[in-house]
Formats: sequence, structure tokens, C-alpha cells
Amino acid sequence: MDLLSAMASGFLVALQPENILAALVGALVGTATGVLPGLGVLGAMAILMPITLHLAPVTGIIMLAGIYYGAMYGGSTTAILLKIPGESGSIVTTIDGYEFARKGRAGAALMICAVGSFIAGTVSILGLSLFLPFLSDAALSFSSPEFCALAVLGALTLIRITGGDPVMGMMMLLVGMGLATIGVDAVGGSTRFTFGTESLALGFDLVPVALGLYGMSELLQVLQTRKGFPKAESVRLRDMVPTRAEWSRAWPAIVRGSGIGFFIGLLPGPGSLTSTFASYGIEKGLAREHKREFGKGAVEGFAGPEAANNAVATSALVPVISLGIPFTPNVALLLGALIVQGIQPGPLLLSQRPDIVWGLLASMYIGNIALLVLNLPLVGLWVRLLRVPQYILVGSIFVVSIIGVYTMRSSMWDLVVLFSCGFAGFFLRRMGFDMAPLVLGLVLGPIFEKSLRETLFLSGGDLSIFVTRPISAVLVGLCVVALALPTVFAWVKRRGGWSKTVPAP
Amino acid sequence: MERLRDITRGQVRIAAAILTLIGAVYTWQATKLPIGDPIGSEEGGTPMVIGVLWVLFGIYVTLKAPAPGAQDDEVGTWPSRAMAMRLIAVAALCGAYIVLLPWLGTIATSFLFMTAMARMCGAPWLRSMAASIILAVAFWLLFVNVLDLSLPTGAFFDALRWG
Repeated sequence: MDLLSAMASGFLVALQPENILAALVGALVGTATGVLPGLGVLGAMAILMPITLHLAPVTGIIMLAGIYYGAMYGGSTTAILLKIPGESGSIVTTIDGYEFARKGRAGAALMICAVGSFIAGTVSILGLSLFLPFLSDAALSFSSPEFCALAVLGALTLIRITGGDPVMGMMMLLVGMGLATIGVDAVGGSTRFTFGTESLALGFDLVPVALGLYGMSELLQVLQTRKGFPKAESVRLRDMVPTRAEWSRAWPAIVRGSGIGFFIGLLPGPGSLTSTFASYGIEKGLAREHKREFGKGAVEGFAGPEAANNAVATSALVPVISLGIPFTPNVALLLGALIVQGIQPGPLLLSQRPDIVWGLLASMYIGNIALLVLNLPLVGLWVRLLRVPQYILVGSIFVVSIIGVYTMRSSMWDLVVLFSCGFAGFFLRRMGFDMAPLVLGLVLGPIFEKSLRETLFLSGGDLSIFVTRPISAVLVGLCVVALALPTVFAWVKRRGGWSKTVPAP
Repeated sequence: MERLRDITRGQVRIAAAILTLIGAVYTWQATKLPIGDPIGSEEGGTPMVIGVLWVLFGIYVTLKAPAPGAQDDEVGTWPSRAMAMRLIAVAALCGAYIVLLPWLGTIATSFLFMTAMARMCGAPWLRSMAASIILAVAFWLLFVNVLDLSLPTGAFFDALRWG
């Protein structure tokens, strides 16, 4: 099937009325949840994911992708209006986006971000459509040792890039992987670590754990302070049109940001933060006459990073769809949703379920258009959402989360897990423990175990198989680099090595 | 405003030690599972690797525990006494939700839960109850009628209905 006919078949799936509705509802509900400060993309996805699991697989995944996009868009809205990043990828936007808004140009900033996100999303989806068949073919040469090494590489890069203490991150990753082994052994079918209880035999499902650690712990934060959600100034529709000068400065940054985001998203590791900082750095480096505006409301300072953030969101799906391995917690949730829907992502997904893959890609495009067409006129609504009394919002989000989790397996155990993870996440985050590695460990754990056991069967217990197969050897090499390089850099820096070779900024 | 107490290095150490202890119990349980031949190919192999690494990293974090440093009222500080009381109340409400759901069903339990939450957020009784009953019914309609899901109706109401 050539690319055009594949895309056409994808649009046939995505343009089914129920799928268009799913994309639109997902984008809108995702934005509404993403706008609420604190919940973030992961919290929004975790809260709404249980609902999508009751829809048909394609429709459910399309809605979840819409939620993903919508929540990201909502995150940038609060970054601009309130200087509160909805997620890590919006941190850079708070610098110049908020300052730009303070000049009375909040509407124009939102419009530039929305158009930039649309362009970046389009570029990234086109790139994804071109790359995916190629990568899926390449992934067919992957076997258990490669998947095992890739799972380790994904985990290591997340821990190294997120900026927290890597040893603490490693411990949390192992906690997540350990939780994943509790219950039924996915390979052999026997039960483990259950202490004879039926509850533990059910294991720790991704949704209650992620929802507890992110969504519920954020709600506890809101409740314990009673500060409520901050208030934003209203944005009028007529103030949303940027001037010609603002456009002419924004579009080159958007194009550059789209390219940077797309390519960084293809690499293992959480690309969102990396790509936005890379885009910001490049824009600042390229700026000539407006250099002094950076940090005080430069258009390029938020147009480029927002585009990069949106592009990375799409291209980060490549490893999930082609290899079945996620490198970020957000994408891990998408992977979890696919698995719950009975779809196994990986090299065979494109050939076995092209309707899912191409339908998802086409629906992303529709979701992008929906964000542009619906969300900009609705920006006033999003601002008003922040004015809904806290007593209505907090209780409602709690109950939707509880019911959503309960309906997945009709299990009280999942509610116990949800509340326990909520409180554990609340306190551990205050102590500086990062929850992202735990969530990723919960998803990567079964992939790692299955591929490791298959590898050991394949090699008769000989671990040298990891370095005797070319692709696996490269991945193991990258693992070593991911593990050692930051330490080596830190060591060289401590010894003053950089000061001799690199001039101070 | 009450000053929030900083989380000390020793307290992070205690949290890390608890996580390490859980890791040790996990590893001990893993030793009871078959490891298989070739080694690691059965259900005890991977948990053994995970458990040993968990304990080793846990010991390192326990010994080297970095102080989180008070950054804001979300990281590096303990909740104030009033905040802690609210958290305990939320924990009690969550526990009550689990206990009451099979007995009172989704609408009544959600109504009580949301009313209590709204009161905690400072809303007056009447508004809390009005908003909660509307939302509880709306969520029931959304999940049961629109999404066609099954939610507990409550043994108490079932008993009333069927005698």
C-alpha cells in the first residue's frame, strides 16, 4: 500500500462521524482539563483515559490522542495567561509568552501559539507518515534482545534528561517495574507477590497508579492550600489577531521549531523539554535586532518553543507505534490504552492494524484543525473555566476520576490503589522524588521482562547475545553512553576541564 | 500565615529507607519464585534483578539522601497543621467512598462525597448540596446512559426496591 492510499484509508477511518466526534470531544475536553493549572497533560490524560477505554478501539485511541493534543494546548494557554506551565514543555513559554501577554497582547500570543502548533503538528504528521513505514520495516529486524536493550535505553534517557537526581529516579523506575510484576505473570500465567489475596492478583493497573500519582496528588495540593485556581484576565476575540510585524517574526521561528521538535521527538528520551529549550536557544542565538527582547516578551521566544513542543508530541509516537516502546510518561499512557484495547503496538502493528495507525494519524490532523477552529473562538470559555468555583471543580474531578477508574474493572482494589498512590505521590513529590520514572517503569516493566526472558531462552542464558547482535550492540552502547556521559561531563567540569576549552557564556 | 516546616534530609532518608525496606521484602519474596533454566527465564528471574537493584539504589539514596530544599509550598515543605487536617479529612472521605459505594450506590455516595468536599472548600451548605446533587445525577447519566457503563446502584437501595 503506497503512502497516499494508506493516508486516504486513514482519513476514511478518521472521517467516520463517531471518530470525528471523538477527536473533537477529545480536543475540547483535553483543553478544558489542561487549562486547569496543576493537572498537566498526564493528569488530564489519566483522568479521561478510563472513559476512552469503553469506546471502540479506534474511536477510543482517537479520543485519547485528541485529549493529548488538547491538554497540551490548554497547558500553553495557562503558561501565557498565568505563567503556570501546564506541563514541562510549556516551561519555556512562560518566559516570553507571559511577558508578551503582559504587554496587552495575550490574545495575539494565544493565536500565534495556536497557529504555530497547527503548523508544527502538520509538519510532524507529514513527517510521521513518511517515516513510519520505513521505521516499521526497520523494526521488523528487531528481536527480543533489541527490545530489551531499547527498554533499558528509554528508561535511562528519561532518568538522565529529566534533570532530577538520577539515583532517585533509578530507584523510582525500579519501584514502578517492581509494581508491574505483581499479580499475574504475563509470560507464564502464574501469580506472583499476591500473598494469597485476590486483590493483589489483579496487580497494579497503569490508570489508577498514574491518575493517583499525578491527578489526585495535584488535587490534594489544591485542596490543602485552599488557594483555588488562579484567575486570568479575559481575552477578547478581536484582540487575537497578531500584527503583520508579529507574524513576520513568528513564522520563521515556527518553521524552525517544527523541524527541531520533529527530529528530537524521534530520539529516545523525553523530547518535550529538550526540544523547547533547543528551540529557545536557537532563536536567541539567531536573533539580531530583537535579541534584547528575549526574556521580556520576544515573539520568537514562545512561537518557536511552542511549535517544537507540538511537533515533538507527534513524532514521539514513532517509537510507540513502530517499536511498542514509549519514552515519555504521556506516550506511555497512550501505549497503555492501546494494550488495554487489545492492540499490541510494535513492528507488526502497521501491517496487522493499518486502520488503527493511519486512522490515528489522520485523526491527529483533524484534532489539530479542531484545536485551531474551535479552541481559539472558545478562549474566553477557557478563561471563564478558571472562574468556576473551586468547590464545584475539585469535587467533580475527584468523582469523575473515581468512577472512571472503577468502571475499568469494577474493582474496589483499583480505588484503593488510586487513593494510596494519590497520597503517596503527594508526599513523595514534596520530598523531591520524581514520579515520571515510576509510571514509565510500570509500562516498561512488562516489555523488559518479556523480552529479557525470551532473550535468555533464545541464547540459552548467554548474555553475550546483547553485544553480538549488531543493533542490540549499538543500543547497549547507547545505554552505556546515557549512563556514563553525564557523569563524565560532570567530572570533567569539576576538574575545570571546560573552563580551559570553552569560554564562559 | 503559618510558616511551613522544611522537609529535612533525615526525613527524606526515612522515606528512602521505607522504600528500600519494601524493596527488600519484594526481593525476599522473589527468591521464593523459580528462576528457571536457563537462569532468569522463569517468573522469578526478572523480579530478582529488579529487587536487587531496587535495594542497592535504595541504600544509596538512603545514605546520600539529598535535601529537597524548600522551593515553594509544594516541594520541600511539610503541610501546615491546618493543611494536614484537611488532608486527613480527604483521606477519611476517600476511605468512606470505598466503604459506602457498594451500600449506597454511585449517586448517593458521590453526592455525600462532593458535598463534604465543597464544604471543605468553604462553600455554604445549601450551595454545596445543590451543586453536588446536580453533578452526581449528571455523572450517573453520563456514565450509565451515554457511555452505557455499569455502576453500583447500592445494596441498601436494592433492598428497599426489592423488599
